[in-house]
Amino acid sequence: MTKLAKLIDDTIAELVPSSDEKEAILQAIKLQEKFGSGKSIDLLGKYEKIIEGLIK
Amino acid sequence: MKLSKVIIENYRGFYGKNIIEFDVEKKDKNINLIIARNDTGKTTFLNAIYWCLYGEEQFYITKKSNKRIMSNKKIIETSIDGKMKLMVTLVFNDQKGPKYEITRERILKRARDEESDLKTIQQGDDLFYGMEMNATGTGFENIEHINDFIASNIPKAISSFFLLDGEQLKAIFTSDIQYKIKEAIERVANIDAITGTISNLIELDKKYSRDKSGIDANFGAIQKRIDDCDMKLDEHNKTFKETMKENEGLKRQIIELVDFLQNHNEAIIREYGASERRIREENETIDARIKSNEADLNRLVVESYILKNSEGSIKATLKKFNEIITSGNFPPAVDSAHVLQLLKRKECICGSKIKKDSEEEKKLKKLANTQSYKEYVRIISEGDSRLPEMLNSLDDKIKLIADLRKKISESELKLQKNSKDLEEINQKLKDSDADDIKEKAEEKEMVERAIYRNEKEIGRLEINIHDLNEVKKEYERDLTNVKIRDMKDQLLIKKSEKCKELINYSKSIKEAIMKKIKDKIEESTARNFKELHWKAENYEKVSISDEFSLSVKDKYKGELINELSQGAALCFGLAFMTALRNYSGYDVPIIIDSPVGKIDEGNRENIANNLPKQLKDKQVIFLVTSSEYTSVFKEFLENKISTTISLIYNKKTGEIDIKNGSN
Repeated sequence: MTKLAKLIDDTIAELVPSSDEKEAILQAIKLQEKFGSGKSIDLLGKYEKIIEGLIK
Repeated sequence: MKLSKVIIENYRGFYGKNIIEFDVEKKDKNINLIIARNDTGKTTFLNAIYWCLYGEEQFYITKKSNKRIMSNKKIIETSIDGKMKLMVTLVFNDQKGPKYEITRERILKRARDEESDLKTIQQGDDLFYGMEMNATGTGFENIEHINDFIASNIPKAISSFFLLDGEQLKAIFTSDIQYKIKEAIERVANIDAITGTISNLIELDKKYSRDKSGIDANFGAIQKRIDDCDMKLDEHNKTFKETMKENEGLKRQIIELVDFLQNHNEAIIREYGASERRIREENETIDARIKSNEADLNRLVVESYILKNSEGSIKATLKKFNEIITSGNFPPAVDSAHVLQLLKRKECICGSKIKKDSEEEKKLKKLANTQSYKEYVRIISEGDSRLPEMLNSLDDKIKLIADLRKKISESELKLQKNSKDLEEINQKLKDSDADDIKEKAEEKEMVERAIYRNEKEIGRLEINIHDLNEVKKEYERDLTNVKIRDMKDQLLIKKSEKCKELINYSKSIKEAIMKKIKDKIEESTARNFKELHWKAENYEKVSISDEFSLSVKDKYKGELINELSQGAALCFGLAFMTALRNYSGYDVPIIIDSPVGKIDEGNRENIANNLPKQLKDKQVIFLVTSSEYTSVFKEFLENKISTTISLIYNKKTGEIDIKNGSN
């Protein structure tokens, strides 16, 4: 894990109380890192699934 | 990710296929050195990497630098209209060996041009592709979306932080070029991912707002309308049932009344009608008999009257006949044929002539028709025998006349009796229409009117019930739609709330991370700067403000960021970039052109000694001139170098030769 990745993880752990939401934010950031600059992926659709996962 | 090989083919001064390989296996030696004299391919090498990744060049000596990237020598050796290929390939290794190969190719055609021998025309778009080692390490596979791959792993936005021109480092923190430190930190520290996450979440939240139907989910009002319908339907149904029930009763009643009326009349008609028919038939018979009796009577009366009045004559005739018969005194015989001859000759018996239509002629004609004697005898004899019979029949006729008169009288009496009977029957029929039937008929009429009214009411109620049911269905559909849309809206509201929650968390996370990174970069920049610049002790404080502006203060003059010497500025730039690089989320090599171009030996020593340590575990490629690569620099850097490559200009061929080791 890079320093930055650890920093992000630590900060999320520090600021987000719910483990589901922690996981959701990490997942969203990973999606953004992976597909953020590309236009060939329906990123909003993937985000929507994360949100749907949270409200179930 | 370390750059292990660069293949440059026909790119500017690199004629033909040139391979530059870096040793990436030596873990304790992270410095790679490319040494070249000025104008011998250092910047071209940097530009070739940039072009391969982003399709354009970034580093020019001047703004008017030649934009033609195809090797001049290659153009010249290509015939007019001939095609030539320009290509750069970058090979990146991970711990296991070659991992990615990124290649950009461009095909050009040499064109005829009177002004220039080097005119070329690009043929189609660049061919840009990448290969990735498969998971088992047995072979390369095509990278499907190469642009996405580059954007995710080596985004152009952060290229300024790993492809550097040392001589332009100062521009990062001076006001001459408006670099924003905050953006630099955000980009290099991959905060972009969080920023992008926030943007996407905001976009998603906007989408949720757009998707909301925006209806006022007033179920109560619609439900009330349905309830009102139900209430009215109940009333209508109740009235309908009651009216139907009442009507059924009325229909039964009318059936009874109709039965009564029909039965009553029929019985009477049957009863009296038969008598009437019988009497009338009997009367007809009696009438016929009376007529017949009367005719017989009239004949007998006439006959009797004639006989009675002719009795004397008959007796006298009878007497005369008896006398004639007794005396035999019959008239002389006349020959009819002889008389006819006389008439023909127009002569009298006496022989005289007779005139036409004269008295004599008439007498002769009468005589000609006179019956013969025998005939007279027969008639008289017959009449003599029949006359007594005639006289004797008179008594019988008188007796018959009395009988007939009696019969006629009896018939007339019978007719009188029958007439009386008929009157009685008519009276009875008249009597039977009266009160009871009239009352029943009126009752029937009244009931029929009530049934008609009820049926009209039933029809009206059926229409109302149907219409109300339709309206109710419409309201129910509305309610269902509103409920569905409201459910969707409620879900969207929940999603939106969750989205906003994540946005707020992400913003807080971003701010917190930025603050932490800023603090760490600030601390690291200060530490690095002290290690790189020999006079760094004089600088009291290196800091990054909350607005992310860099600051260097010294003990005596205060803020010095815009007044740093060339050497101090380069050291400060390297210190900042190194600090940034160490917090970078991107695992890419750092390539610095002219890292120590304008600094003195003291600083070179510090940089050579400390920069490799500061960028420990990061691949660093220095592009240096022979004048930069001084003995001091070499001495302190040598044990940290894994690969040294020299770029040498070949005066004979005009090409750049690549040689391992320093020249």
